[in-house]
Amino acid sequence: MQFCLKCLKINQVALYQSDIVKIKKQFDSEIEETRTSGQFDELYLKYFSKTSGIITGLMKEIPTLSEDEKREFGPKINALQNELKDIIEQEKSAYEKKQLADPLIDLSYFLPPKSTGMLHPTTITIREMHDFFRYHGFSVYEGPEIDNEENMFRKLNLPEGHPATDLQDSLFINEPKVLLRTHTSSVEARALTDIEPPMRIVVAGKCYRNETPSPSNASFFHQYQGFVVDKGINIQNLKAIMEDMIKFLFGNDTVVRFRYKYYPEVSPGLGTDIQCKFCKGKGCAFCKFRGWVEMGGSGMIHYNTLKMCGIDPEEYTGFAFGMGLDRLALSKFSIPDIRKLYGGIVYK
Amino acid sequence: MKLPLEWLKEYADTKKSPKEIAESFTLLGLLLDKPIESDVLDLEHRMDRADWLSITGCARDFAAFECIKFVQPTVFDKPAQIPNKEDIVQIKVECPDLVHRFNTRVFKNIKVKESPDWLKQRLQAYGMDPINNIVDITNYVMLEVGQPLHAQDLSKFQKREIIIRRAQLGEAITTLLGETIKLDPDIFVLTQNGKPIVIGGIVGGWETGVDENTTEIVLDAGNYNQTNIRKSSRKLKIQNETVMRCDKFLHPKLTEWAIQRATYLILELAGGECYENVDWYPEDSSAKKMKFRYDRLKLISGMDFDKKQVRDILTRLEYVILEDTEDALLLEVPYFRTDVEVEDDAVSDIIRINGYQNIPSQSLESAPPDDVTPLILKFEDVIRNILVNLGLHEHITDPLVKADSLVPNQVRLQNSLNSEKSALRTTIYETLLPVVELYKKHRIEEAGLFEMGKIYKDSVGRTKPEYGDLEETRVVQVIYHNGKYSPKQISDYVKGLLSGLFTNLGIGNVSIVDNKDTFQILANKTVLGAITYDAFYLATEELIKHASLPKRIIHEFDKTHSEDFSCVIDIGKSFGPTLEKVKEFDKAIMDVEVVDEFQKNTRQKSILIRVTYTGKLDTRRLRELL
Repeated sequence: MQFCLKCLKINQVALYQSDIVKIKKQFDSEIEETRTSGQFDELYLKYFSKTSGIITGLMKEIPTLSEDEKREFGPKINALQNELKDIIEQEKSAYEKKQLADPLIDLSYFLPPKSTGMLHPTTITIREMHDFFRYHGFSVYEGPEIDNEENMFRKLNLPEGHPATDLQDSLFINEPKVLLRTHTSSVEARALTDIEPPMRIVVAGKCYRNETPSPSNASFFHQYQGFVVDKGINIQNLKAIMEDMIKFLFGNDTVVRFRYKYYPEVSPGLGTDIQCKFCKGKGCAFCKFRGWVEMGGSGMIHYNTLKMCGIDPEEYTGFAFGMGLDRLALSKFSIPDIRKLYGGIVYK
Repeated sequence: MKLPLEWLKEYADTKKSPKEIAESFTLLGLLLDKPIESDVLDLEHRMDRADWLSITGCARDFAAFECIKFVQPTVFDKPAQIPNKEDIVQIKVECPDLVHRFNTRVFKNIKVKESPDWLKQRLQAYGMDPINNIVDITNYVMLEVGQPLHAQDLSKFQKREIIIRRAQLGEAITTLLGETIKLDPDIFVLTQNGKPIVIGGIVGGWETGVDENTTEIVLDAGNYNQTNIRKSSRKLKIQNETVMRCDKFLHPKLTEWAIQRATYLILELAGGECYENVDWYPEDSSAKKMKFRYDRLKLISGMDFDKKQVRDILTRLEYVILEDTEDALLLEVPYFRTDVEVEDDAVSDIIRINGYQNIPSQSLESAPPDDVTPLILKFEDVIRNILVNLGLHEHITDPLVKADSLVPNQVRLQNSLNSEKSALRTTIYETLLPVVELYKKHRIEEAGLFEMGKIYKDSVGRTKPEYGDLEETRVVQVIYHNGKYSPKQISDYVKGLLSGLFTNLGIGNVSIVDNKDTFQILANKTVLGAITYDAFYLATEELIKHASLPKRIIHEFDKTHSEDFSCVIDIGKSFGPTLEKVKEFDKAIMDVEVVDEFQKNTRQKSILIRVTYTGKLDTRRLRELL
């Protein structure tokens, strides 16, 4: 071993090496402080500032070293530089994330998931029916629930004292002039009066009857009604739309029966039944041993009704149909009691 | 209407099984209502055809439908004996508005006894108890031809006279069943020597009833004001086979057939002699004539009928063809068909007897007419969708509530059977709240509910409200409950729902104002509804006026431009109003910001405003404005 400048330089390297250990120690304690203070940029500058950085200072010494020393010392100082830079970066991003997260997300408990609400089964059923009829060119119409005898009875071909008023037990506000509608045909009377033919219209709405509530009868119910007035409308058109509607609602394999059924506001009337799906027409408890389930009434709009609503019955003819919506909704959603449908249903 | 098949077959003989017969009746318009038991059909009667409340009436249609012979029952068609003047039972009608016809006949030397088995069995099959031959015959003929008849023992009369008049207040009658009924002037009665003996068209009295000692009777068939019968029977709560027929449109002529048929049976089964008596019938109603055009049949049915077949069907149903031309018939409507009003009713008869199963189907062919759907219906559906998306469940509740005199403007019902449902709601809150309670009962912590419906108001408050007094308002009601939230949190949530709804409906400029008893929701100074800490309601018809449903789909981002404008304002003044002015200058302006500010002199400063806009902006005018 030569004792000269070289020796001194070897000592210099040794000195540097002990510096690296010291610097590392110092850095470790400083990063600990910075974790809470968040002054990572200041820490970075302290070590890596181009003018006064501790590591930069060491780097500046490298050119003064011999080739051997450079080979020994260079990689070590490089490794230290990379290590410290990495640590600062990691700690800084962890700190920033924590800074962002803390006040906003409380990770201590979970809230129940928030879902959208539900439409009422009757609304869903009405929308489905509307979809079918709008596809067939029908408009949707509506009218008041409180109506007068004119729209409820007279225009529907029910003169005063007609026995068919017995078909409906009306709830009167001022008997016999003002009452709650017992059917949506009152809307038909209004539409026929207000709208110029041709027209294709459906109506869905609440109706009221003076009945004691039971599983199948509430004091109010929803009716679905439709009517068409145009030149050359005949009973075959009515039959076709009833068939299509039933197939839309209950499937293509449904067996349909048409029969004469009296309603005062139509002539001829048309009753539509579907074969009971449970007993296939043999008769069971569901269909009250009839083999068939009634789907509602319809018919060609009465000559007098058209006339009273201001439509020339010699020029225009039309048909009308009506059905209860609630039973449809009940069976669609397997709800056993109509009273549950209105005021009882609980969604989860 | 019950139909014993053995009885039916006397007029329309068929080999068909009960089930097949029931199927034919169902197609004809008399739906089988209950399972067939011991060869009796129970058919649904829909209040139209008075003749379908008789076995012959049902048989006539059935025979026409099945193309078999309809056999009429045998009647006494000889003239009755002329009575001595003093034997005549005088008829006086003091209420001609309620009685259309009162047809009578007197029988002497009859023998009251048990009816023969065939008669008893038929009545029993129908569901009536046999009493004695005279009473049974009146019942039998009523079921057979549809006209109620009544027989009274003349020996129990003080005077040979029946006066028909309105009952007086305080009068009463004891029925055949022994029940005492109080009467009033709305009800009319048959009286004898000043005392009511029969409630006309409703029920007979005990006093002049036929018994085993009776030898002389007066038989009557009356045709009455059916509206009065319906109202009176309801008032008296009497429902029987007589009422069921007398409250329909029976033709006065039917009394003749009924009397003749009953005469035949009385003479056959009780012996004796029959005498003419008064037929009180001041207005003989003439037969209805009607034109029937083949064109109309084609128009309504869409089918081509053979003219011979048309005439055949009409004849089988006992229409009389008065004139027969190339394109039309002149018909005389059978008197018992009081339901036939217009030509289309005869058209329905043809289609019906031809068989509804034979109508073809034909889809609508014409172009669909214009859409007349009111916007409000579409708008309410939009609200439903928004509220559902905000997490609320839709409910529909019964608008009928208990009448309460403390509730102002409540619309009350006159005749509700249920006192809990005797008025209409004035808010949806009152009917939706019980549903919230139901959620709580089922331990569901959170209940966000809404209902779209109507509320009702009687703005005048008369005892008998006129139609114009009553208002219906379309309303959407929201109620929110959360067991884990404080009232303040619930209130914040409800306000969040409200602003969520408004944002989605494109309604801005909303405020909530304390209006003494309610917190009103206003948009552009119009009241839309009201809010409480856990609920709000909005009148949808007001709401729609303020809504501008945002088009949320953009197919392209608009290119933005920026331009700087300078303006001078006094030192110490805020530049806020200037910025507002610029913002409102044009819809194209998206953003306005102050980018620089420097002092111009001791009193004024200059500010540099950067305006960001899309499309075109009249920058010259804006500069002038500043």
